[in-house]
Amino acid sequence: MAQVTRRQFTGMMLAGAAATLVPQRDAGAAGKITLYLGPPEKTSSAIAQGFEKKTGVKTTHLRLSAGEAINRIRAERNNPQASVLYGIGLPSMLTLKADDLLVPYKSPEAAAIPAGYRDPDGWWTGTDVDFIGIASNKKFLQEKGLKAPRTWEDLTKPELKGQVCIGNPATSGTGYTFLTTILQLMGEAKGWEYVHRFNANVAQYTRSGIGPTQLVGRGEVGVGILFAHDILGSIDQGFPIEMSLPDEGTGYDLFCAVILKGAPEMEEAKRFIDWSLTPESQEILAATGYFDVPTNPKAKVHDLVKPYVNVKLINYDFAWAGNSKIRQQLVDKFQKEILAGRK
Amino acid sequence: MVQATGILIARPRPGLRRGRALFSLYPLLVLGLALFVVYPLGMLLAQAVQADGRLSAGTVLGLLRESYYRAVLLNTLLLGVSVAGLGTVLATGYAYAMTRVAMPGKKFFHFVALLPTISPPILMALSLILLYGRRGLITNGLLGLQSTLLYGFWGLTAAQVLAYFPFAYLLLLNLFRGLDASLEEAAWTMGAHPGKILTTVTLPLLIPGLASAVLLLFSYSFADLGNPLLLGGDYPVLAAQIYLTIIGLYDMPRGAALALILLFPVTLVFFAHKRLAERAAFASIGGRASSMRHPQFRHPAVRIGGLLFCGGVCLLILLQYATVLGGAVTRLFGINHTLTLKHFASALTASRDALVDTIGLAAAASAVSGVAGLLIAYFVARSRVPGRGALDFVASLPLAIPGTVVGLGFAIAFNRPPFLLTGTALIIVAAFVVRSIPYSIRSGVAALRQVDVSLDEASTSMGATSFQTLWRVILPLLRPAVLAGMIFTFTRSVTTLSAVIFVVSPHWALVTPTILSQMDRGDVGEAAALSVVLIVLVLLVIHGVPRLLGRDWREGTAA
Amino acid sequence: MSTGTAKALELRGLRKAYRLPGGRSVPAVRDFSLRVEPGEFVTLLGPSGSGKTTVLRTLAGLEEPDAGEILLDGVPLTPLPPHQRHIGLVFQNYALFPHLTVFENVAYSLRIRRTPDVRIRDEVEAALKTLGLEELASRLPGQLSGGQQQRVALARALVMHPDLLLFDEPLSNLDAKLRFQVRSELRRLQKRLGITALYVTHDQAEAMSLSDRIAVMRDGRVEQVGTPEAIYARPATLFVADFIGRVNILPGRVVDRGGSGVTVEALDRRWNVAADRCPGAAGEVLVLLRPEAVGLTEAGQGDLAGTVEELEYRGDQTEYRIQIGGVHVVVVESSPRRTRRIVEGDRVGLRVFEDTLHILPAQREG
Repeated sequence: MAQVTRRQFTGMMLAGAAATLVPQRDAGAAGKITLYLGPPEKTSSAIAQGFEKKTGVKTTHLRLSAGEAINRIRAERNNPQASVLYGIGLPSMLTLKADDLLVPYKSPEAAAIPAGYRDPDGWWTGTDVDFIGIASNKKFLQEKGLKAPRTWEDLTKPELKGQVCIGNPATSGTGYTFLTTILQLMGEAKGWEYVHRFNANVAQYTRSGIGPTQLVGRGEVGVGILFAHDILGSIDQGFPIEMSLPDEGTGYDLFCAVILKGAPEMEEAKRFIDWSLTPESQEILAATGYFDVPTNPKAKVHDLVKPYVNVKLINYDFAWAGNSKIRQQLVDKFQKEILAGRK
Repeated sequence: MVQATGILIARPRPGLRRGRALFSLYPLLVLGLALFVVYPLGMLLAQAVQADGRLSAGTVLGLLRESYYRAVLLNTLLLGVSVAGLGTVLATGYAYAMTRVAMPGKKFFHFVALLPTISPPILMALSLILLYGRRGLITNGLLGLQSTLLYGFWGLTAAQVLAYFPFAYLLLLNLFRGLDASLEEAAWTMGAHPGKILTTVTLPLLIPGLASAVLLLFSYSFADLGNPLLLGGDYPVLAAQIYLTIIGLYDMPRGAALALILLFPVTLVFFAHKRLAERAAFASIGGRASSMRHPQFRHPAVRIGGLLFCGGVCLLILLQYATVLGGAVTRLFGINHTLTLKHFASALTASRDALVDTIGLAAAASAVSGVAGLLIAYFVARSRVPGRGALDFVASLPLAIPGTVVGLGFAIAFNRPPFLLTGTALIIVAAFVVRSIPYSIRSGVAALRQVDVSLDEASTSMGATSFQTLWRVILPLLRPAVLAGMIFTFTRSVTTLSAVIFVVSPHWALVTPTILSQMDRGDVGEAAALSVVLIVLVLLVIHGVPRLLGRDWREGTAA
Repeated sequence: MSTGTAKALELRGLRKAYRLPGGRSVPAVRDFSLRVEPGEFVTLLGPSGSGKTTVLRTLAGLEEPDAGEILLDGVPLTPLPPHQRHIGLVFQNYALFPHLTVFENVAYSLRIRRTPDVRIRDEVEAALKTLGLEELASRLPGQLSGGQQQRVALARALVMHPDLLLFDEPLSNLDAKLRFQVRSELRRLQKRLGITALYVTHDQAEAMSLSDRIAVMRDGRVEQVGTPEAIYARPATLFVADFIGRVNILPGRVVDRGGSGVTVEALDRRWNVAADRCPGAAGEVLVLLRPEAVGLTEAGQGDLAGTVEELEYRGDQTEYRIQIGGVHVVVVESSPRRTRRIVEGDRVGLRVFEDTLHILPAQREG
């Protein structure tokens, strides 16, 4: 049996100590970029690789939820780690803009994007759109002899007691989009009254917006409120799920690409934004199971998404929903009035 | 001859004078602790008690005034108490059966009980959902129930008890083993049957140990972040609330204020524990134990009871791990049970960086923690340097501080000058080290107490400096303790989530946050596969490294 | 404070081996048999590792014998767990419960048997009184001296009126003076209470002063059983002779056998040894001569002549190492007997007390 001498032990200790002193991995060098990406890991990796392949710029990326991204970018204000934030909803981008954490960039590629999907001053540019849908577990519907909900009101029916699931508005973009959609559609007073009734049917508010796919897919709950790309993704994975949309119209989000203030790799960041607006980039989304509607009209729309391209959307007020004061107010109210009352 | 004269020269405090080389490290340790323990806590505190640039308790008091946060605090306390109580009972029973009941399979039972200590706690939530969720294999598949009980108090209690009771078990196992055997034998010969011995002698003597176990579990429950995030949707607890406040509301001051509220009861518990341990020192009175072989009760009822109890607990734990393994090798656990290796392939490719980084950083952390822990232990137990009590106190503080708070303190303190460490490996390694160094110190101090001071004195009288004494006499005797501390640091580092969730960066990916986000997305297969890979790696390290190092490192030469 | 009728203990063919982790087993007790009469005080005396403590623990039920019988007044004890044996055991480290007061420590066995409180008080007080511990009833063991702890341990064992009292080296943690004092107290108490007692020690002086009989143990077996006098004066084996007291072992040869004994030649001289002191001796033998069975006289007087090579003055005694024709003999004398001090190099005469000579066959012990 090998024996370790004190000398060898010292060697190991020194090696260990040395490992801690190694500075961060060659960040900031030319031809490299660090990305914060919102889509699921599979899609995020494909996006990073796609960009790397196209431009030769070496990428490092971290997948983050909207909340994690905002928090991280704020925390890193004095020492920005990443240059680009991509694939996060517009309200969060507006929050970052209000915090003075973005820099505008008018991409030459942006001309191809419809005006409604980009900021005229280039603070943000939309890459894909997605709307809120209702996912129902087919087995559940069958067992209970129910039809998939077709209106927001359907979700408050007694048959669905304890069977609805949605991301927590405090932590998930999905939950927040749902809440603001309801409040815009029904008005503040009636909207909150609806949320109370809706709450009675909710089995669980998950931490992240995508959480309910798992729950609905495995039949832990009957119905989930989700972004359509998550629902379609689960259907694509083989979960027995049916997607329906509310007749009253539904809210949506515009997923954007932005350059972060103090970006360590400004040139590469611009190249990334340019690339993210091309059909080639936007088609990666659906190809990797992230079924959004691309903002570039020239990008191919995936067959699963096609039926929903002309879905009835509400006129979602991003400026209002993305205002961090409003956001704080709404989330606070939600926590105190809705969450606090739950057991 | 030269050395002989060296002794004759009067030296008022040989320990201090002779060991200059060693003692020059002392300020370094002090600075390190100040930077990585005191400073982040201070910054956190500052963040929590200032509003609009002025000093104010408004944020904290404001939170306490809101019924929602009071409910959260109450939830946290209730959960902590339940987990502590249940876990201690479980751990006591287990440790008792393992040390006092003559039954087969003890090695196996021990191994199984230790599994949770080397795996990420969130694993419990994952397998609990798969087994006992609304569509769980057992609750729904077998019993036809569709219960939501799992998502809330009961589920959290179950997850935390399963994840943390083994730590209490380990603690109690040592105490049960360390108790002077003749006390129980005396009771036995005086007519007490096994049950009576337990209630009249063993347990009363172990009260300080039981209290330690309770407090340990209490603080683990308080600090747990992963399980509440996954299971506690409708049962908000403080650690998760801090995370949600910062990630969801982007509200750093309020997060810091919540952290302060979390810190308060935990610190209280910590000091209560310390007082208790100091006062009730009689558990160790039987220092001159006549026999270390404890009574092994052979009564059939006791043996069957012990087997059933340990077997039952093992079954529960193994079911958890079997489920994780099942999740890792099936296409979509619960829906499509086709066998596949794609999750493992993906864990070893897509998450390779996370695995490599985690292992590397944890190894670095255990090296630092091993050396610094030994040095601090030496200063505390063997030297008379001024301020060693304070050093010990500060280094032990992280025992009381939940990982979430440490992580948050780091995030606040090190993303601005003068200590701009965000995004570096150093911040992660420091978080690992800070979290585990108290254990390294404890094990070092305990081992040092076993080594008679006369050995130091003999070495010094023969002309050795403190450093030489430490190096040539003490270290060889302490090797097993140092190694144990290092391995502990390693496992704790690779499994922690709460301490690193705020400090991970794109350049240094870690496994536990990856598992959390995979589970969030519903990639149960990948999360499970990655967990399995992690557990196997940890097992390899735990069992492989001591074997590789040789016998001296495992058993030591100390009497 | 007295027990009912004392009981007789009988151990037959006891065997016990410990299994080591490697699968090897080490015999601790092999074929051990012993009978202890009612009210008798028997000591197991032997070096450490001779199996004496194992015998004791087997008696108490703390170890299970591999084979053999334990009978108390003819009733087999082996099937009973320790708590049903009714045997008092005083531990080497006393094993006092550190969380209970002296009173509660003593009361423990009574409380376990659900004795009414009133009786407990009476019994415990009586036991404490017997041992002079009344004042200490409310103290915790940690606040007692070693001697006091020892008494509490004894009181605790006595209060349950055990059928048998076992002692596992109970005096080894006391200092020399206290040990001497407690030793005689213990003996008096045991005689007064008339309890059958088995005592384990490796200290021969302790064994000699306490016991009715001594069983000398070696390697898990009984080497010799007998009264202290018999063991000392007529050791059955060289081991016993050497282990108990000191002895000069001299090579000798039987030259004549008579009806009353034998004549043996040793140190170039013939000695007559009584028949009961030379069991089966013939041919080459070993002659055992106790150091105190020799007196020094002026040179030219006595039975033998020799030269003092070394002496050690001990106050009450002086030990001499004397060379007699190439053989070394150790002699111990009580010191102040004569005016002229003997110094190293002196020629002296030796007077041997012939009656104390003991002969063992030479081939035994190898």
